[in-house]
Amino acid sequence: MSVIIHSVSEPTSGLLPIFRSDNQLRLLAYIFIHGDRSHTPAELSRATGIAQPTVSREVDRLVKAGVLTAYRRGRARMVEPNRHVAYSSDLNSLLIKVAGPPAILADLLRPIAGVEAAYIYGSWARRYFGEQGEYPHDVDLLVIGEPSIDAVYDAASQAEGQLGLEVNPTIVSRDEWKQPQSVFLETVKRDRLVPVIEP
Amino acid sequence: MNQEAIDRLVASGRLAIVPTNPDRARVLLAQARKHLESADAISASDPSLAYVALYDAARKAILAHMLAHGYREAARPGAHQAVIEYALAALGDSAAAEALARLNRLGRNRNRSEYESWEPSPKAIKSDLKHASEIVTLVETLLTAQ
Repeated sequence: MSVIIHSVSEPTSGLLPIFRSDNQLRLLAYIFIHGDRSHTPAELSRATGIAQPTVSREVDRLVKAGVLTAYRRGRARMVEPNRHVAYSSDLNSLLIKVAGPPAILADLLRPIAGVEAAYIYGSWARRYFGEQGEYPHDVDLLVIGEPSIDAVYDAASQAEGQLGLEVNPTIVSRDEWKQPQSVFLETVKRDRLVPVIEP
Repeated sequence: MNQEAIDRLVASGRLAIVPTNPDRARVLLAQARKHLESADAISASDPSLAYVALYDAARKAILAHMLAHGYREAARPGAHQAVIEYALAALGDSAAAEALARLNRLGRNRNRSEYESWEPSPKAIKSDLKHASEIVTLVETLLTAQ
């Protein structure tokens, strides 16, 4: 008698469990959000922190299903969203809303002088790490550094427009973050944080 | 003053028309000024209360402007939002336009202070206190000139 193992179990996405795994969701989100260019599996692995063999396996599966397209550039295999399937724009919108905040916030915060690091905490972060529950109604954003408060507010408002989700920033200096003087910051520090910009 | 937008708020029942009440407007405005001073005084020792105070200062200044012009917010859910919309319609093209554009964000932060465990940093309080202060000063100037 033989036992057939169909798949190695990967955690399903806590953000939206209709995706087969959290890795698949993160990968798709990255590819679609940065859909203006194509990527090699090595780049995708670096950007998402997912091991390259897993990236290659997921990419194969998604290319076969027609969600992504792949082509060769020299020796490199390049992948990008398949814009020719009828649901492409819907999937794009879904991915931005579900997994877009780190990518979109990083793009908006990076140009702001004084932003040293940024993380998502709270309920959105907990869903991202697999905790089951209702889809969060807002994104709690922690910005560390000495940026202009108004510039961060403006970036948050712009992200809200793109994500269809409230983005609520908290801005603290590096010292305040290193040695929290409030119970609130201590609590945030104990949370698992989703990196947006790493120091 | 965008009278059409204000009329729409009245027509949809979100603002009510009342007799103008300059005395009550003056009381509210004096309270608003005090709230600003309190927010500044307690910003280090009690940041979340300081934030509630700075937002209330801005809100009371707007309520004062409303009363001086014969409006008040309707007693129904979303009253805070109606006050913000009035402010943008009545004062949105004034010297405090930038501060007013941020009222929504200030109100949201105020709710996070009040109902969640959120606490603003001293720098955030200072920056947002400046916006609240601009709104209070604007209404003081406008009502004194009346």
